[in-house]
Parts: sequence; structure tokens; C-alpha cells
Amino acid sequence: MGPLDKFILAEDALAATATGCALHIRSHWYRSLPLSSVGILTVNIDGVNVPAENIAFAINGQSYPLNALPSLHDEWWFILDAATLHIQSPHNFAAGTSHEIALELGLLLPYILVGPNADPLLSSSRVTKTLVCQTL
Amino acid sequence: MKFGTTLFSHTLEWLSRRYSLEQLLANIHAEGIGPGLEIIGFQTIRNFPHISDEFARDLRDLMDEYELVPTCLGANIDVAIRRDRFLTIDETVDYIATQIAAATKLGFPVLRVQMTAKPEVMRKLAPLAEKANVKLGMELHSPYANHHPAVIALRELYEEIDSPYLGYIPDFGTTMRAIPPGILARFRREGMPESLLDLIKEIWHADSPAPEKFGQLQARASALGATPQQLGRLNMTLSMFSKQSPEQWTEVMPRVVHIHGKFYGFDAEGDEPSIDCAALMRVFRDGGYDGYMSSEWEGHAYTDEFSGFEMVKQHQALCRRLLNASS
Repeated sequence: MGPLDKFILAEDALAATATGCALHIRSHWYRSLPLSSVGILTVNIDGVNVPAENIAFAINGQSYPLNALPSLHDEWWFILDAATLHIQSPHNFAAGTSHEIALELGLLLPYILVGPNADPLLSSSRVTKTLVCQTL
Repeated sequence: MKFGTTLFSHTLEWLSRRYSLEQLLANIHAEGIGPGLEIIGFQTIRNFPHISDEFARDLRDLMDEYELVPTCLGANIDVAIRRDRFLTIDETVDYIATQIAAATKLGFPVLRVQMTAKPEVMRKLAPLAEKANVKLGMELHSPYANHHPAVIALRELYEEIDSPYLGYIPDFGTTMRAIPPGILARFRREGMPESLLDLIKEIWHADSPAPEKFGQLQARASALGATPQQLGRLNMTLSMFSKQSPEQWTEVMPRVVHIHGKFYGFDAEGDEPSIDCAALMRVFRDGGYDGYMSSEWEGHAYTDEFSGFEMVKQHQALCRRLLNASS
């Protein structure tokens, strides 16, 4: 929602892979969080939503399916590090092609509890950027 | 009162990755906004709360080199780290014990803890803190004003145990006179309807207790069709700002071990429009507080127009002037 959103997708965040693309993303929060804090992660490429099962989340040399993240409370996303989303997609990601990427990242803050049920506070950000595909 | 900064004020600079840790500390020294230095473990340190010998040595050397005094290490009490349940009392004790050890290793005399540590947790931590010679400072951050039921329970425990290792860190965001105008402008720009903006202003200005405010907000914002994302923004508003009077810090004064001098920005006259710095400086001076205050700039939550270094410099100049003037 704020200035930190600009760090989520850098200009060189998109690169082609054998099965689609890789998207490097950074957190919009101010501190490191465990992967279990990733409450919302959606990607839309050129107007088409990417199904969650076609996204893997890679950090610290490991790769996880998106639906594994809620249970990963011992795996950390250091605040200066980019995570890499490995996305299976039929789009043409040839180097130099432009793609409109819309990404929503919602973080559930494990130390700020709100509401009648003491739920972790949701801090979400949506960014839309046209990125030029980099060579790997 | 002694002055200093927290690396939280320099979040934009840090996350831009244009500053190394050494460059941040060198700038703080060069700008004269120390000597007090506070850091947040989970912001600054990779693999926190595990501290390598090498990192500990480097940080201590850097603080020496740049004439900075370690004041407070910010712990986070992540009781909702698991998605299936909250951490138990003992798990929370362990989670904090590791961070106490980190404070010892890095030379910080105070560990900031958060209200997600229940009184039973603090009771179990008291002997550990004493043994480590690290004071636990419970951050009285919005929405945890003195008369919040959870703070009342903690105050009772503190009176019972009466240990110098169990203290408070007043955060000026708890004693505000207005919601910073910039944040509502930011909500409006991203499409929040006026009905929700009016609602949060109404609830914020009311005198009802915090738990009631969160309940009201949830019910009324949902009735107005707020999305989960918008409800998150509005809940965050109550989590960042409260309007307890500055005079009420007097009630906890004897146990204050550190201060978060939270601020958001300045008007054309150099005053902080949402925080009554004059009243706050008077209260802490008259209360005999002689510890450190970290100038904690949080305007980066909604604007990147300013440098954290410049903002902290301006805040310290304002507070120094007010401290000397208030009599």
C-alpha cells in the first residue's frame, strides 16, 4: 500500500525458463517473515490469471508448491532477498518481449493480532508493471 | 533524556539495497543522529535470532567505530507464526529466550518485546532476563494504551514481580492527537471509498476501549462492503495510532526502560501535526526519565518523499528544543 510496494517487482524481475517464466519478487513489509506468513499470492500475466498449482515459490535454495507455504513456519524470507516464482505458462517469454504482470502479495503479520478473533493483520499489496523479459 | 535513532527510521534506505549496514551506521554518525542505536533483529540480521560470532564481532566493531551506543534490540513475538494454532506459553518463552541471547551477544541492554507475549510468558522470562542482564521492555504500542485490558493485566503482574528487568517502552503512536493526514490520502488514492474513510475517522476519535473499536470496525466496515484487503488497512490504522493523552505515561514512568519517539512528519512550522511533542517532552522530563529515546520515523509507511536521516535529525532538534523550553 505504500512506498515499499515499489520493491516488489524490480525492472529486471522477469526471465524466461524452459516451461514458462521466473518472476523475482520482494516483500513489501519492513522485516523478514516466515513463509507461513504468505497469505495471498496471485499472479496475472497479460490479463490471464496463473493457476496456483502452476506456481512454485523458491527461496534459500529450496522450491515449494504454493499450497505448502502455510505450513512452512520455520523457513524465512529475509527482507533483502528476492524470492523466485517459477511459473508454468504457455505465453511467449522470448528475451526482449514485454508482459504486463499483475501481482498481489498479502502478508499475515504473526505479531499483530486484530479483531474479535485475534487474527493476524493482513497487509496486502497489488502491483501491476510491464516488464521486459530478461535472458537467463 | 538521551537521543538516538532506530534503523526502523531508515527502512526505505535499507530496503532500497543502496546502503550496507556499515553505510547506514556511518551516515547516522555523520548526521549526528546517534549516539543511541536501536535495531530490529528481523529487519537487519540474516538468520535472526541466530547470531554468528562473525556478525556479532562486526556489529560491535562498527558501533565502536561510529561512536554509537547499543540501546535496544527489537524482538518480534510472532505467536501466530503457525497457521493452525497460536504458539503455546512455553513455545513463546523459547521464542523470546533465543532473542534475549541475541541481545546479550550483540551487547544490547534492552530487548523490546510485544504485547503478544502474555503475562504468563513474562513471568517465566523474568529470571532469564535477570540472568542475561537484559531488560525486557514491553512496547506500549497502539492499540495497547494503559487502560487496555491486556495492559492492565500486565501492569498487575509487573507490580507483583517488581523486577527491574521487566519494564515498558512507551511508543508515541499510542498518544496521538490525530491520524497522520498522509495515510488517509494514500488509502483514498488506492480507491478506498469515502464511507470507509469516514468510518475509521469516527471510530478512531471515539473514546471507546480498543477491543470495542476493533469489533465495531469489523462489523460496520463489513456492512459497508469492505474487502478483506480494505479491512486490513483499517485494522492497521487502529494498530498504528491511538489517542491516549501524553500525561498518562506518568502512570508507568518508574518502569520505563526505553522510548520509541514515533513520528510521521512536520508542518510548515516544524511541528509534528499528529503528535504533541511538547507535551510528551514535558511529561518525560518532569517524570525524571533519563534513558534513551529512539526517534522512530514511520512516515515511510505511506510516503517516500523524505530521507529517514533528515527526518530523524529534524525530530531530535525539535525534541531537544522542547525539552529545554518546557518548564
